[in-house]
Amino acid sequence: MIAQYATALRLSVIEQQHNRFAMVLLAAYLPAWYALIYALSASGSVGFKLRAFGVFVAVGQQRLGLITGMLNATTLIMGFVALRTVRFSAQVDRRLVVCGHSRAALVLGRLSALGLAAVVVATYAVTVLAVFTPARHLPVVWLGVCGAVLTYAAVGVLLGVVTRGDLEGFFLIIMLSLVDTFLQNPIGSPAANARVVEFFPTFFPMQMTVAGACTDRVAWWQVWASLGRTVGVGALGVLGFVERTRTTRRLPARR
Amino acid sequence: MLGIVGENGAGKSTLLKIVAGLLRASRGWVALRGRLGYCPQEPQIHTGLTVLQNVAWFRAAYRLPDARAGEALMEQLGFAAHRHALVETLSGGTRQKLNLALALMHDPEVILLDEPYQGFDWETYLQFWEIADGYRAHGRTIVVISHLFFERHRFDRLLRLRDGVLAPAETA
Repeated sequence: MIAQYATALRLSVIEQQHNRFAMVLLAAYLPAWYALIYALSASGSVGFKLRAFGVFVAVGQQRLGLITGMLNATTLIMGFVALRTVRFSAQVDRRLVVCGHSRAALVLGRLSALGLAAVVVATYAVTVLAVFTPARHLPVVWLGVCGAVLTYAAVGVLLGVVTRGDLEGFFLIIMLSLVDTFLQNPIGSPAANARVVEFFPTFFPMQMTVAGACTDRVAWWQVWASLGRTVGVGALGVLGFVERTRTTRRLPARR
Repeated sequence: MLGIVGENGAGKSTLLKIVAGLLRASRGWVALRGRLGYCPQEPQIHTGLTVLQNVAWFRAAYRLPDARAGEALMEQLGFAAHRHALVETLSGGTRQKLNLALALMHDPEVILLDEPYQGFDWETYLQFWEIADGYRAHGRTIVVISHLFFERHRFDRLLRLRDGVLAPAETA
């Protein structure tokens, strides 16, 4: 089982490296998106509510625009990567299980590779962000972005299981990420301070990212809250993934 | 060597999936003795990996100590030159060869082949029968399904699937 897990992890990572579209999106689209926001944002400040402390902090519109843009772009990319992993590999994964591959090793290998990809995406996004705007506590910002991309990796897995077509899944991720990230941004959203945004997938990551970038106050419990949301959504997706790879045959004893 | 023929939509692939354990039968049961090799109609392979990486993943699934059998099948089926190529860059015929090799690389005792030679050129088609005859000579059970058969003499038995019933093709 350990050898199968190692193989599943190694080959899943290689498979993701061959996903050139996601690589181009990450390498080229993200900096271009930052540059556009940097050039076009207004210079004033806007009040952003840190819910954990019940206070408003003044955040530069440019900086908030960059943070929102970063979360939107990274969640889109990661959701796309996860959705593609589930949809494109569903049948061959099932065949591997029929051939004797441990389902647990396969699912764990796939999830570990997605986790690694999420860390790479978050690290790159935060590194490039630091070129455009300084952050007070870069590790906190990084944790926030990790929370967001991991949540959307889970969303991608879930949508990969429940949607019938590839396009449906992609559009759902695009729409969800847009609504999720932009409604939390008070620059363009009067609803940013409404209670409903607390239920959005990237609510905790957004709160952490803004707090880490602009203040010295960080509610560390939000790391666990974000992770809990990821695990909750991911568990539903994994259940579906396990169900999809279910076979009816009892395998012979190992040789 | 058993051939199963039937019209499009007769349920040939469904039957094979039930035997392979991919689908649950609405009634009845499947008794299967020995290692199973299953080659689906549509190549079920990782298109984002190379040929060798696909072989490595299935080697792990079969718990084989090395990939020698996979390499030998690549040579036999004539696509060893593509071992480092990404599957998404390969032709349909070469993908089908890899699809077949992945079903055979663990020396299975029962082999289920769903339209295994579609997309093969004539040389590979003949090579396929040579490999299949070799397995038969070693006492393996081979089930081939197709919507039509040109060479009935290659089979020990030929059955036709119609209305959910398998019957000898000659009397159907």
